[in-house]
Amino acid sequence: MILQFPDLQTLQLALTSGTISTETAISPAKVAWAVDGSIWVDAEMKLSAASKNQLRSWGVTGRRSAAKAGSKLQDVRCWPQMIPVTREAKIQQTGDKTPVLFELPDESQLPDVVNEILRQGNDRQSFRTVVGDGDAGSRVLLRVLGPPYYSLLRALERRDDAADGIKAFVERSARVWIQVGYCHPLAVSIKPAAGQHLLIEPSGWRTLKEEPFRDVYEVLDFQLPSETHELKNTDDELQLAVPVGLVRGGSDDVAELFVLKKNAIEQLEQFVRSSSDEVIERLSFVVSQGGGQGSEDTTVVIRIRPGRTKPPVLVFDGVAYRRYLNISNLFVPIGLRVHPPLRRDAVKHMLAADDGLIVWVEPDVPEDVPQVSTSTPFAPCFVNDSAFRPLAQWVDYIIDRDANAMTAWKAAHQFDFEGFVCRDDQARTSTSKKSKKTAEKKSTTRKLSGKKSAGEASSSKETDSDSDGEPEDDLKSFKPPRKFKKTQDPTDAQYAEMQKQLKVLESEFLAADVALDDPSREPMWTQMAEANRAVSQFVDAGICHQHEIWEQQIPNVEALRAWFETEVDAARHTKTKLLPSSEGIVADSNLAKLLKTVAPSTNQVAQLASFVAWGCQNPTAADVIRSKQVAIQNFLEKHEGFLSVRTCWLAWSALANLSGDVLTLARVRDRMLNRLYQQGLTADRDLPSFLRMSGSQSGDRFRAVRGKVTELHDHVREWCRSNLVDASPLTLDYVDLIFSYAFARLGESSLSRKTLLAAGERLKRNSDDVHEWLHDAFEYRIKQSVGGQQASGPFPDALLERLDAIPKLARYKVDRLRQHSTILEPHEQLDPYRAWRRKNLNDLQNELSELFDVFSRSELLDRLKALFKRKLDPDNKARLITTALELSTRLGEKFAIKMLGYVVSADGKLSDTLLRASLLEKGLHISAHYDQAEFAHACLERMHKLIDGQGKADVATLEALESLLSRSFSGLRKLGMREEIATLLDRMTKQVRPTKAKAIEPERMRVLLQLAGGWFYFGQDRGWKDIDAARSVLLSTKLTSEGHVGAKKQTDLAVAYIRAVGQAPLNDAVDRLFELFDKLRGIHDSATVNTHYSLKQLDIVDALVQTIVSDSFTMNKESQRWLDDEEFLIRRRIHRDVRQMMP
Amino acid sequence: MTKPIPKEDWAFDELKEQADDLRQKINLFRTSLGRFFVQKQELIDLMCVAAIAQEPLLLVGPPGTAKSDLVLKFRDAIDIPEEDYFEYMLTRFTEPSEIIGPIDINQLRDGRYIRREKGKLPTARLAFLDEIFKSNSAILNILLTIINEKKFYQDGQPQPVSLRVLFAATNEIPEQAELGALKDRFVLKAVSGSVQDEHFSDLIDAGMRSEVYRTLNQKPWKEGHCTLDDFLKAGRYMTYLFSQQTADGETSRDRATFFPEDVFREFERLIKTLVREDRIFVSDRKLVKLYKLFRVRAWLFSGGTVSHDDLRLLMYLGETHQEMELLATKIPQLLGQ
Repeated sequence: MILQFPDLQTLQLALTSGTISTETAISPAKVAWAVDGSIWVDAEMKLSAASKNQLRSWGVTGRRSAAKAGSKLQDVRCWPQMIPVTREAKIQQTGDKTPVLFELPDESQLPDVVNEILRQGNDRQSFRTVVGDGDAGSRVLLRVLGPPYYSLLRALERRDDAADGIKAFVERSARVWIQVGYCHPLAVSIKPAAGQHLLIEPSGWRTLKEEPFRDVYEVLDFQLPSETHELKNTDDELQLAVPVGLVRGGSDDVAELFVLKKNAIEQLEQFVRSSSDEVIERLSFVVSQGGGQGSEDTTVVIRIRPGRTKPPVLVFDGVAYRRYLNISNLFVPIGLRVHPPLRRDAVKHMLAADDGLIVWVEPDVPEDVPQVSTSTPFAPCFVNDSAFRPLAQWVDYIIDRDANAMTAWKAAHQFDFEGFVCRDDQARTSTSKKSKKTAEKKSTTRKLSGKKSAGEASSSKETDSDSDGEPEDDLKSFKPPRKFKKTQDPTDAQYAEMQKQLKVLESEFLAADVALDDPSREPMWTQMAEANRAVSQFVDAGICHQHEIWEQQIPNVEALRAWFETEVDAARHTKTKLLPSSEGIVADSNLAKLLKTVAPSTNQVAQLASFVAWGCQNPTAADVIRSKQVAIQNFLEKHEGFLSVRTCWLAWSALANLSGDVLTLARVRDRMLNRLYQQGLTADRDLPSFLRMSGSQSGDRFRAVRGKVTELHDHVREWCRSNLVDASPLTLDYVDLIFSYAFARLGESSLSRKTLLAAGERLKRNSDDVHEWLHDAFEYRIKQSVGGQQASGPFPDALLERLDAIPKLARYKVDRLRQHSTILEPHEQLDPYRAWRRKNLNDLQNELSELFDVFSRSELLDRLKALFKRKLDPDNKARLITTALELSTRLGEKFAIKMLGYVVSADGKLSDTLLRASLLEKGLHISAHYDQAEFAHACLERMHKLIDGQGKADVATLEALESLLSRSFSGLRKLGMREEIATLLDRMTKQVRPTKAKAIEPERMRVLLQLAGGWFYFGQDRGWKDIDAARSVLLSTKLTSEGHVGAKKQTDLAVAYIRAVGQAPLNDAVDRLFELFDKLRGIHDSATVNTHYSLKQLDIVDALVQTIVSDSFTMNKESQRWLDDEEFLIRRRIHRDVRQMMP
Repeated sequence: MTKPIPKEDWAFDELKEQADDLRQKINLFRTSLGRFFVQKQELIDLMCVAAIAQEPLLLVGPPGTAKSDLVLKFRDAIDIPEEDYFEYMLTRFTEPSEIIGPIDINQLRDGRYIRREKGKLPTARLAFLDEIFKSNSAILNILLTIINEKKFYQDGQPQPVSLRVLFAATNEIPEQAELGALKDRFVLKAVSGSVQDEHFSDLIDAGMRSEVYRTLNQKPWKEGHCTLDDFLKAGRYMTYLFSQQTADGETSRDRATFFPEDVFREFERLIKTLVREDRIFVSDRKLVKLYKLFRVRAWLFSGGTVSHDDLRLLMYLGETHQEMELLATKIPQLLGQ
């Protein structure tokens, strides 16, 4: 049959609309292009009546002969070949992974092109030589992945000179290559025959037999000089003794330690007389007899304590020392440095290995030779860190003259000062003495971090009250004057002044070397709250008020009122509806209106919470609250997600106190603890901005991280692409999804959305259940993050229902990623094999894994009870208890305590280290979560025993230890168990580190990496050696050459490495991560799931992203510690309140 | 009164005869001057190329990296008369009168707004403006006109300036848009970096020698190898070559003769790559000027056709520190050098 198409567009329409069937379209045909632009097609075809009508309506006519076409019929392989290629207006950018085929007409051109591309860092080149039909010589096909644009231009410049120029083809669909610079509208639909590639160019179509390409490295020769000199090791052990001394250098640094020997005490007295209290506050000192170098005189060592502001410049007649190489406890004289220059860790090891000692090095120079000209020997001197006492505690300011009482001339104005009680001189003296005593007592305590942790503070507080037995009323009744009454419409100058004062307060707060819950901080919170309110920073003001109240046994009504007023001010500022009327009274009607609001704003909920907290202490307001208590409770419960944990608790505890409803409070406690367990604290809601940004510019750090992530994304994609091997290329889209989550967490919502959309488009193209479900699951988590929520909790019902409908094997592929991805399942670990295990009804593990899918509290309890009634062997019993503990945050304190009671006895019967580690870790975590000190200590004790018994740990044990560590660190430090972690780290280090120098197995290395990460948290970098060792293994082929097992080991090691490096200082961490993804090779997946994704690679990317979005990466250590302390204090008060209310 | 601009109307035939001699003199000059610096030969070469092409050159670098010293020694070495040289360090308080001369009060009484430009920028043939980007907008406008159009305004009337060679220096490259126009006038922007890391002892030795010369008021670099006129003659000669057409009158004979097809294509590829991959803006004006600079460099270095090596000049196209750093590594990498 011959058809005459009026024009090319009609032919194209007929092909794309399916009017010409696919069978016809892919069969050979003859075509003639007439002068009038019509196309005559002669082909065997069967057309349905509908198709014929359709073609007729488009002006296509049937012909008996092609004689009238005016040109000769030509053979084409298929119909799409009739449509010519068109030139692209703009050359499309080829991606990093896009394969491009260069066709070099002459073999001699190959070295030039290959070298040029190699020069630009691309070695993903392979080639083959082909001989075309009728060609005089052979041609070379060079296949390059993501060639540089510069080299691609070679092909473009010769585009019209097809005979001898280089051509480039880009693969537009599988095995269909189109010349660069051209496009074919049907390229995607063309399917070449099996074993063939199709090359499409303006001059026509060509086929190419599929044959392997040779890697360019196979033909590259790197010629070395003929002579080689082999160096051989001698057997002699060489020991070089290098004297270490001091030489000149480093004179620009600021002095942070002074050692006074001449008239030391007199100098100190003279100094305190002439210095401001602000400077004195920054200093601590120690007095000793015989300060080094054989001297018998009194020596005073003065140390400037670290603070937010620069150290003050002090002048003493003594030796000034600076901190050396940023080692916190090592000081060298200003203008000198250690020679020969040694690495930081070597210096620390040699001179200041004990962190509890402050070490300074005294040059051994006679007094009449002040200048150190050559390397001079020195003597290290040290003093216990705890011996330093705050200088301010030893200074009493006294006024020589009596104060003259002044009488007011006229009571024209009354200042709004709070009443305060001033302690008399006697009391002050006794307190001063008390401080001295306390300082002496405290000096015996060794601290890990610079500041005291909240837990330490509480113990020291107890010691204080015990030691002197004085009532604390004096302290409580002291109220700072509320200076910061907001001026109506302050001028710029006034505003600037207020801000300045706020900054001073914040600096004082940060400089104070006391714990976060120390009573001395309470007036600071008050002042900062007022100051923030004065400069319209209402969120910070609210948070400060909450802190002010938080530790008070009996809440200060005035502070509660101020908090409520702050929230009202905030509402006024944001033009939100106010709860009180213009007269400042919260009327029934206003409250009722608010409680009926369906979608209240955050500010409205905060107003209500603060009103409740204050109102419950105020008789009039309490009546109003009582009358609407049920509605208020419902409203708060419904909208408490808007509030910080602290705000929620203050409101709920006030309500519970008002009504005496312990049960409600206990339920709120369970909700709050579960929230802390699932989400932790959010810095934005719980810390005032100056604490979030404390230390070395946390905001800058966050911005720096955000800037690097985009760059890292490209590196990771490239790494993933070049290591795919047999795995699905759609793995890259999963990488994009994971990074989309990272972008969302880092506040780059538009970039996150863009990345998500692009990946989604590609993943959904194939209509595959696995891809579609996983994409939707990631999308759900990403949207949670974009919306500012914590990306956790169960997936929506609709999504889970879809999952149930997925066939078993596909479901396995979904669950496998869910099991591994900490983004999809941040808290619970799935068992992807459960569908297969179901066949065995007695399989306990199967039943346990199913419990995670039960969301009804009562059903969960019933099922657990039923399981406990069964007779189980010790291993299974331990598994059951571990699972029950894991689920106990959903089931409440009573259940958790019951489960904790089983832990120790179950552990005693176990021999499997993995099970023991898992059980004890969970027991420790849950006991800390529910403030069960006894159980926590019991678990810890068992844990120490477990560790101590692992001297020659095997692989399984090491893996158990690693899992124990990885889960313990992050959780326990938020529970105020920092000391416990430190001890755990220390013991673990001793056990795991091999005593003899031998090759460390990867499992041990992973544990050491976990330990290294843990030490970074404490500001100690003793883990670098282990990190470096792991790095050298990762960047070699040592493990990957062992096949699949090796690849798995390499993956696990890479994950551990990323996590450890993520705890290091930011710049080091970023450099290491970039390096890893540039050089890590050989990780690929050959598991069942690789039809959809490469699991090993996604494991690494998941670890990377969780590391870079974690608080430890985006926040500096100081802010992190504030947040950890916060969480501890919040938990402590919650438990305390409930306990106090319990009958 | 404006100083008459020296005649530079040398005929092509006359210059053609001298061309080889000029080239040798300038080459001797540039290599001799290089002896007095440590690792600054590339900058001196650039100064020579810029001087022949009469294109302004911007030297960028932190204080103490010999930027001013390069220009001062260059000036001494060509032995330029005092009245033909102008040098000034600009600040944001610099007034136009400091650059183009104060208003002539006597003339102002007669209602004429005339500047006494003697000894200032308009009368100089070689100028050095230090910290050029520190200048204020009034100065900027004057400089733009002088650099671009080689003229300035006296009582509202444009007057040609004598300026032929302009070197400028800056510590930092500003990002402000208002300075973009001035920045764009400098096709070549070269970094004068510190050399102490790799040439520590050489630097100390050369520095001490320089100190001695300064103290003893000696100028051994003043060797009389060539003069400013030699540079101007070379420039004039190149202009004559550029103006020659092929028989069809459409293609420049200069390009056909001196710019081999493969090098030209490489030039095109390099530019396209920089524009596309690194978003480096290369204006049409710059492209043309680049062509001229390649030709001048090729003539000076080899007397013949443009080679791949001459394309190295693209390293100096960067507008920001980042671009400069990038080009310094990328261009040699692309060229395989």
